Amino acid sequence: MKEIALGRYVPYNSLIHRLDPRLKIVALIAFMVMIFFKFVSTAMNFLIYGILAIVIYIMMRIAKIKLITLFKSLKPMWLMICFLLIINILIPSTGDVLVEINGFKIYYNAIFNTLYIIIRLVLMLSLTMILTSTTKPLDLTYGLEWLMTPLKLIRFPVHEISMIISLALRFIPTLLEETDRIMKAQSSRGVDFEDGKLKDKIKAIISLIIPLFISSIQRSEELANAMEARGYDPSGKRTRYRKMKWCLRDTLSLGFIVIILGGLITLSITSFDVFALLGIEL
Amino acid sequence: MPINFSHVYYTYLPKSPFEYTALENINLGIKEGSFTAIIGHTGSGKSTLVQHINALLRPTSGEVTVGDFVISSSTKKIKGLVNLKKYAGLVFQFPEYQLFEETVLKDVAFGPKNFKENNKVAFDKAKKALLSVGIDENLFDKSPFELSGGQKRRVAIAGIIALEPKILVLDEPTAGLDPKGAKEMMNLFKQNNENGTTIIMITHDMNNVLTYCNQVVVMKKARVEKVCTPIELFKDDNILHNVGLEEPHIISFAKKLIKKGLNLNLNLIRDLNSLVDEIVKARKNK
Ligand SMILES: Nc1ncnc2c1ncn2[C@@H]1O[C@H](COP(=O)(O)OP(=O)(O)OP(=O)(O)O)[C@@H](O)[C@H]1O
Ligand SMILES: [Mg+2]
Repeated sequence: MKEIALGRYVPYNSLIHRLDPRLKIVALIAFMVMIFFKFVSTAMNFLIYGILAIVIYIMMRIAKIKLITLFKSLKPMWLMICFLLIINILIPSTGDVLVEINGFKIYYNAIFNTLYIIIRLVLMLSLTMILTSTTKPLDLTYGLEWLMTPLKLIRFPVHEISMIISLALRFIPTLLEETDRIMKAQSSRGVDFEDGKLKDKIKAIISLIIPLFISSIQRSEELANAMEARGYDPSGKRTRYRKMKWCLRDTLSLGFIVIILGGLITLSITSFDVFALLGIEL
Repeated sequence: MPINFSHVYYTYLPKSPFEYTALENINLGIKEGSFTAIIGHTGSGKSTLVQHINALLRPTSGEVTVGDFVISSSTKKIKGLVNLKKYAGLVFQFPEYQLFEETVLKDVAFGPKNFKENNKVAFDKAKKALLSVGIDENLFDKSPFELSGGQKRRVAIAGIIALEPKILVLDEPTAGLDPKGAKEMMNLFKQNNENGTTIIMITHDMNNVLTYCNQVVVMKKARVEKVCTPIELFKDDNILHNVGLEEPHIISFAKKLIKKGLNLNLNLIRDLNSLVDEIVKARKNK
């Protein structure tokens, strides 16, 4: 149960914690875009991934996230990664052949493509982890709401959506606690959540899901009533107790991100290749 | 099955910023057949303590023994863990949230079935347990979600009683019940205790502690502050003040009478009847 709490807000006071949530969201999007850039050659791709990985690692260090937590959250993905590898190998490809078994060719490209996906996954996960573990869920939604404000022009229900997101975020820990409690209660009645036959497993899951659903529905009903009782009106204009404040460090960080993003775009568009430039053959 | 805690520590979410030590150096013995109350302020670690008794939580360090079962941090898989859950039944705070079956009867039979009882035996045990908690037969085929809060609580408690545990652990079983219902519940536990079940009950109701229990464990800030009989506790104004406990109504009444010169023996007072007896006796001796 405890591992699910990964990526949950951790109250340190690092530089990244203090950055403006709006900036952090924009930065996340910018980095995600960077991860998907393509460069001239395979070597160039890996070089840029390496640089991005180092930058992200440094950010993780600043945010006081341990690498071990990242690997723990990757554990459930092994199956997916193997699956990806198999699919990539089966798809006919072009280029150099790595090995040939009984006329079946495994290409370098298949391996590289799988590696790209894995690297992208790991980097994206790290980035998301940095955002969620350094930003309070509420700040996150405030940031999102602010960034989505222009959408109000096209009658997009920005406030409602951000309210829904913040409620959902707010109830994740509650739901986890509830899950833990019901699991304990049912295992006191002899349910074995760890091993057992498939039929027992299904029964175990049912004994967890039904109470969970019922209490969630009850809770949402109570919440809705409480909100209405206090005169909640989604279209009402509201003020905020704590205002987001843009500081110098936010401007500097934004500059940093713009520089990296600009640099990578240039490299990509101009088909720049360091290795060719230095005359290194790969 | 006696229960023994020795040097038990328990830390929630160790090695994280949320680390919290909920139990510190707990040393505690609970005899077979006793009716033990666990009291203390909210957050003092009572629920954490009792979850060690059926190994829902393993000590971070130290050892808990329940009969032949040894629960410690080092033993990865406890032998016969499933059996321990049958011997020591735990009813959680607000257990009504664990109901899930289509009918009341099926829900109560769920436990016995998990312990490999055949259908007939499981349903017999379920019926017996339901009747004992005061659920009428005409409710057996209703959905548990159609019941009132108090009825749900009874059904949830029956779900554990149907396992016929040797040790029954109850986490605030009467919280939120009407006074009459609460009294019925307490009498049910007393009856179970007289039939040989060890009862361990977390409670905030000092009147129940005085009337029903023969041992009381006082917890304060993750530690066991005192283990004694209820009357020893309520006689000791220092500890009552120290832990911030209210004395039972009967005891404060008796203490006031003693102050006014009536010669009562506090040791013999457990409920209203024994109080009246003591007053009558004291008046006669005057
Ligand atoms: N799952 C958990 N994760 C982290 N901390 C927890 C968890 N459960 C309990 N705690 C903490 O451990 C401490 C003791 O909790 P516990 O539930 O044992 O208290 P309690 O004595 O039963 O209180 P109450 O009378 O309110 O039920 C509390 O401070 C609580 O915040
Ligand atoms: Mg508790």
